[in-house]
Amino acid sequence: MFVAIIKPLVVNITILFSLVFNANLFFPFRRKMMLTWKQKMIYGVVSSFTAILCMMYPIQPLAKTNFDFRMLVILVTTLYIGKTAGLVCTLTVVIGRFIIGGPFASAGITVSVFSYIVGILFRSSFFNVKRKILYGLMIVFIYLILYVATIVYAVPPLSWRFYVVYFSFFIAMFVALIYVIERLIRFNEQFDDMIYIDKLATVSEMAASFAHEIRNPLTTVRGFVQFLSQDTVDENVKKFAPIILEELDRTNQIITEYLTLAKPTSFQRQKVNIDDVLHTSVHLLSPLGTMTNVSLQLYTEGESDVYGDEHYLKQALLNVIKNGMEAIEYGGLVTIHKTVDEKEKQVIITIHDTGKGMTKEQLKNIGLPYYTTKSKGTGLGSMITARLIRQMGGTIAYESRLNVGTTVTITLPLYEGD
Amino acid sequence: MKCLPDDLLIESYYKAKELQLSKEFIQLIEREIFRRRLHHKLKQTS
Repeated sequence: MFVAIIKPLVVNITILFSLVFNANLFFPFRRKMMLTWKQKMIYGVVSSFTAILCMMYPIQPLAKTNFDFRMLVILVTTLYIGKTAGLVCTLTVVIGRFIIGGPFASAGITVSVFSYIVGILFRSSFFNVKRKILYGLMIVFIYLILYVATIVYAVPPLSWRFYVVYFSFFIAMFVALIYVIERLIRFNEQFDDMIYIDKLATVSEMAASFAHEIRNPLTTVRGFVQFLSQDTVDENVKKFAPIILEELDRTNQIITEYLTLAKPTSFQRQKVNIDDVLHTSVHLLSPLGTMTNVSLQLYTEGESDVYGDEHYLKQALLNVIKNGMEAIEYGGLVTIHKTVDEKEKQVIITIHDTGKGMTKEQLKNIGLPYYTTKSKGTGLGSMITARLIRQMGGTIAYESRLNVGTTVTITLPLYEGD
Repeated sequence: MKCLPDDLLIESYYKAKELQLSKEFIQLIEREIFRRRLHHKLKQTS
């Protein structure tokens, strides 16, 4: 009896795990998945396939019932992938269960549809919650209430041993799936980070070798142009020299930015009062704000020290705040909040602007070398910022809505005593 | 800088100093003058 229950359960578990890993292989799971319609459909088909496989190996202690883990497939697909994929899976299950038939087909269909409904209800809150496993347990219990109610109502009582084994496996399997998927997501994100860091390293090396080489001839050209413009009677030269000089200065600025990128050696981490840095940054930028009709507001909560390099920290913050200000076209507001998370031992700085915002596409590319949304940008500022913050052991995240504004969240590690 | 004739280099050095062009530029010219071992000419004329 016991073996008869365990065997199909093990088969179901194997199917679920293997399909999770296979799905991850083809489309690596991410925290923020921006799926095209086609990808959603493919996920739907893959999960439907999984569910059908599960239904082919049901536990049949009483020949006419059909207990398996297809609801787990629906639940996990709806929670992690979305409504569309979940719906495809549910429809397949419903049709499949209908074809299998038997006196309890309607009950089987009902519990499958319930799992989809529960998935939809908890989808957005599940997405935002941090302790996924605990929350997942709650979801599965809520679902089980519906499940058990349906069984009690529609199916004659089976052996209690079977119920205990089946439901404990059901819960354990759900938790295990969440755990595995969360691990996979974390692993994928680390992998993305690695690629990103590798790109940064390549650019830095290039910067180191080229920047100096370019700077010298540039200085020569600049010197001679200046020299010419002051020592000539030619009107045209006089007229165009300022433009040449301006453009040369811009080139020079790009190279200087490059050099910052290539100079990680002079990085010295020490105790830095973040409030001072914020105040000076805002102070430095407020004239620019007055000129462009942008007001800066700084709210700090208590005094705190972070562990970082003061010079680079200032540069990074100036960069972000300036970007926010430049995103505003016809006057607006940049608000900077500083809060302390004692539990995580970090300082959280959010910089919010009421600018033009960014599209999803732009948001995805931010921080990549040479990617810019500004007509005069170099595409290096955000990259340098990201790099500096990372080097200080912090994180930087962008959130944006088109025509509403952008919020940049920076976290930095708190200085922990001597 | 490297293709500049010697006398022109010296001339531009003085001009640059006269017009107070950027220090970096003057330094570059100085370096080139030293590289060509022309610094004795500077002393002669100044």
